[in-house]
Amino acid sequence: MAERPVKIIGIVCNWCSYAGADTAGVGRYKQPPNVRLVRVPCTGRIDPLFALKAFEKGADGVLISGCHPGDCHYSEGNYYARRKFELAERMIHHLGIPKERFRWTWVSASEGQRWQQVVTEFVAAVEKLGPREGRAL
Amino acid sequence: MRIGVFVCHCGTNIAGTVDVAAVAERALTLKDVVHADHPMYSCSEPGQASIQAAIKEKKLDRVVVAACSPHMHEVTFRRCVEGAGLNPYLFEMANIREHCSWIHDDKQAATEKAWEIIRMAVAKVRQLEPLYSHEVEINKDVLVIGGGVAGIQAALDLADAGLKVTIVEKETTIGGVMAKLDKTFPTIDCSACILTPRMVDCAQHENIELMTYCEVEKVSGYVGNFTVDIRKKAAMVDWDKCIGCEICVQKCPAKAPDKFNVGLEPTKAIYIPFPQAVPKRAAIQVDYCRWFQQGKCRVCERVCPAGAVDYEQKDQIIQKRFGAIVVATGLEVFPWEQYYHEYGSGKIKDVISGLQYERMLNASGPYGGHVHRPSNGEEPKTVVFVQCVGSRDESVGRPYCSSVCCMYTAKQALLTKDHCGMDTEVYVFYIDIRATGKGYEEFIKRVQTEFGVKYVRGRVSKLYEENGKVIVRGIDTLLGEQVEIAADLVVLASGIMAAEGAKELAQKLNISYDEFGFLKEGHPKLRPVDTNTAGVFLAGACQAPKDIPATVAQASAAASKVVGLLAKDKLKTSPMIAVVDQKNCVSCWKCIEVCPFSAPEKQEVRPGEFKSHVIETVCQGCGVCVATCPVNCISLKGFTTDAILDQIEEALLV
Amino acid sequence: MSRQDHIREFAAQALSEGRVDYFIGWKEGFNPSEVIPAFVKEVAQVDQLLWNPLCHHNLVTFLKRNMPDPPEAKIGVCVKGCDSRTLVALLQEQLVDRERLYVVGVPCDGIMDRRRLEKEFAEEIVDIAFSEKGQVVVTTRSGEKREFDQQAVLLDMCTRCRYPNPLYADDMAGPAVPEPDREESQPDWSDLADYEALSDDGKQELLARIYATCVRCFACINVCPVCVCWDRCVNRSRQPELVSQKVETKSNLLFQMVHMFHVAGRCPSCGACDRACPVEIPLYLLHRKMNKELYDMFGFEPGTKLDEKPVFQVFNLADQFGD
Repeated sequence: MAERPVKIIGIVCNWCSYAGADTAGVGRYKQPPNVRLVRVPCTGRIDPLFALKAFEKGADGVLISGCHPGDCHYSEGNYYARRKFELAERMIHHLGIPKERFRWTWVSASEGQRWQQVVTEFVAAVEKLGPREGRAL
Repeated sequence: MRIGVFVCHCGTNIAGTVDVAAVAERALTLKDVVHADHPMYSCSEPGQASIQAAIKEKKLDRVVVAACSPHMHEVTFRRCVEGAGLNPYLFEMANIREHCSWIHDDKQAATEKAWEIIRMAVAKVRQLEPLYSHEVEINKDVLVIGGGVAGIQAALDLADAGLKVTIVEKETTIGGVMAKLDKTFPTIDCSACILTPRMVDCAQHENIELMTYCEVEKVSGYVGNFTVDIRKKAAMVDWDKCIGCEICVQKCPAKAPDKFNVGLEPTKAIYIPFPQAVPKRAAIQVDYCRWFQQGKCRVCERVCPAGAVDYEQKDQIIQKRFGAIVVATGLEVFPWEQYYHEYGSGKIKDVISGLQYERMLNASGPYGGHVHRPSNGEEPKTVVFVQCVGSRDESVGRPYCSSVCCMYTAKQALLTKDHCGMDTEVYVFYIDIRATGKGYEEFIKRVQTEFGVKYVRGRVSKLYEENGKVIVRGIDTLLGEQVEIAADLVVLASGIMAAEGAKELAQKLNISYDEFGFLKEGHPKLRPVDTNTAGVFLAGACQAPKDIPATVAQASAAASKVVGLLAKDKLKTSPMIAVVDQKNCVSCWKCIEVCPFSAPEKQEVRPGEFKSHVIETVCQGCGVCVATCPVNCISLKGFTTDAILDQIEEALLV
Repeated sequence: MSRQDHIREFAAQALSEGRVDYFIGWKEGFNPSEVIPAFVKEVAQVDQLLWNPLCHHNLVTFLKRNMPDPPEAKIGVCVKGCDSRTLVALLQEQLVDRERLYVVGVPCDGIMDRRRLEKEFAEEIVDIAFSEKGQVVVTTRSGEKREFDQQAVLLDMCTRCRYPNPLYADDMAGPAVPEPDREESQPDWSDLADYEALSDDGKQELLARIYATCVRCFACINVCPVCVCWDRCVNRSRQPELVSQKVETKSNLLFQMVHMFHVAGRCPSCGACDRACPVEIPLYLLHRKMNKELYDMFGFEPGTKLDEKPVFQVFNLADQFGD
């Protein structure tokens, strides 16, 4: 039997990356169908534990994206967020989840093509590792 | 719970890739889903009517519409369900167009993904609760940032509507780029003749306050209640005393670069940009002033009849409150010298930019309108215009069209003939001619036929000096051959960039901008003057390159949006904000520490016992506090932790 | 005068002068290898107080428990170097009231690993005696006596201690002990090397084994001096339900990650959680790793500077994280 397709949870801020994904859609920038997006107002709203929870529930990868530093709709949310995500990335790896399965980045509302690139590259990286089965987290 | 799911065809936009009927059918198998349908266009009148009918007939208490992006139609559908008596916040959109059908080709995979996106939306809608807006008082004053033609038009429209307007302009005068222009296309009417009366109107209008030589330092607050710190830069001249007589300028011994004349000729260290400046007030460029640099001189102080010169003046910060903000920061000309080394990097004297030529043509410019070769002062016999310098050129990082150069080049070509005589040889090198405005194409034709300007289709590969001429080497792609012209003067149609500092201003205003620094509109078609920050609007070239008619139209549009916004006395705030469950609050105050808006406060719930409380009208709903609260006792309405976790879980169910 | 004498004297003075309503120190436990926290309310009780290398409890834990209630109580407390960092972390956020606090700092030569000591002997230990010169004499039920060098049976964390002297104290129970030049030296993270060398799968296998035994007794969280949530802990919450209440490996690990993220930037890895765990989960491994990464990210050691904010409650525009 063929391996199941990998499933990636994307958590994105409303103002930049969700809108960037919209821009990608409007521009018909084709992407692999493995990502499921959860919309939040700001990356500052994202508790790093959401990512861990997603892994616990069986996600093969977690993608977090928001406004570029300096561009936060709420001025500061992503500045707090990037510190948390950096620690989350390091600790997730410490738990034995390969680095390639967790990506956080910035995609603005106008960067439809960049969104396509981020999704395509991330899905490819996760596919290389394959689905996660029977792990501690 | 009774959930209704509507899976939109969006014509073939969605149905072409997603089997909407099958997905709707499947949705009925979900817990709590009692109704599912697949309207052709859910946003259309019959589409909305069918949703409203279903809410009433099936007693739906939650609605999911799987269609386009919530950025597109969330507001539409909230209003729709509200019309049927449902709380508008018991609605959720599943984005199966931008995030699914438009980015996938495989129908089976797209259908499966749409199904999962809908399941996630159903999982979220189950967690939603009714929310209610609050009303806040609004300040009806308007800030217009930028005093070019866009800012002037917006300010006048707003002031005529009875609103108090403050124009903040970074230069000492309003007028912007348009004040530098000689004539305007396609009518060849004098730029100053149409602009300066409007500048004067601004100065005299009882509802307009001009704050020139000022910059926006800091912006806080939100729609209806912005607080703005404005830096009033030290002009070293007391403007209450200055009468604009220019005696100081005449007597000043120190030369300084003249921004207004685009560096053609120097001005003085104490300067007034141009005779019709509004307000007509002098300012000192301290970097070039002998008193500031060498500690000697003070000539201006001595000659000033009004005793206005004040070397001790300091920058001042003035705080003002506004209900809405119009951004009209305009444009800057592409610095071609730094990029086009094949055109001599600015070292060839007889190669100038379009804006410099504009000042040369201008009767009130540094040469009184006398067109000449900067190298020797002689009138040119052969003039070559080169289009798309810093436009449509990826090699210099400017892939976009600057939109005005084709037209202003044609205008300048015509004016060349007018100033130097019809026997002057005038060539225009172009890639395409873009003349889409009213009367534009006819104008180009007239320039070509009536004025005999020779259009050569092709790029110029090199400019160099030889025997006192500028050799223009290029290709005529229509004839397929090399062309070489010995020109007396070469004018580069340098493109348009966003104004310097536009990006930094955007960051202060929390609005988006693109990779070139142009500010991003709310929607390219439907909200062209809005931004994604409520209460902040765009006018003119700060949004994208555009000509004067388009700029003025946009400025009036922005003004009318502001008038519409401020026509209300109170504003409904978003109820999607943070709320503290005080019984679980452990008073650790991390929420207060991290909030960008100072929305949480310590509230005394019992004598001596304090708990966090979020001030509803201050909270902007970002959720930083929610992610910081260790006990998770703050919830963000509409984006609760459980709603997020349930979506994640639903997406991962096998 | 010994550190113990100092502690007793400071406690007696503070109590008799009414500067504190009670004084928290250490006293003898129910078996020789266990020292327990002591709450002394009267001068007559100060002789209970003791100091020896078994005083592992971080008494700062009791401050945040007792600080709000009764609201006016003035509290005296003993802190070792590592404990003082948790106190500083609380003070940074004004989570304890400095005005109502009297702190006696105890310079420390290292705390003995009680569990390791007990495992050395097949028989029950009936007496542990400490000599001035840092020797430990252990007597078992059958009368066997063995002498150890105290330094040989230290807690692993004490062998890499950078803060043997308290960073915050009103009085010091004796002269400072030698400490590393912190400007010159980096923290020693060598204890993490074995774990870090494991493959991703190796880590997951080990974690699965370790966290299978967690019983969710909350000892780690209750004993944590910088955790301020107590019975409101989101780990107990069903709404929102960040962590399943089902006790099983995956959610046990998530449970611990919740604690870790919530103390990130405030936890100086004092090791209290690790020592409190009844099933000996090496919690220290998580918190040490977290602190190693924070040090790498910010050059930051939690709870070392009173005027510093925990790193996740502030930001710096110049932070260089992400792409």
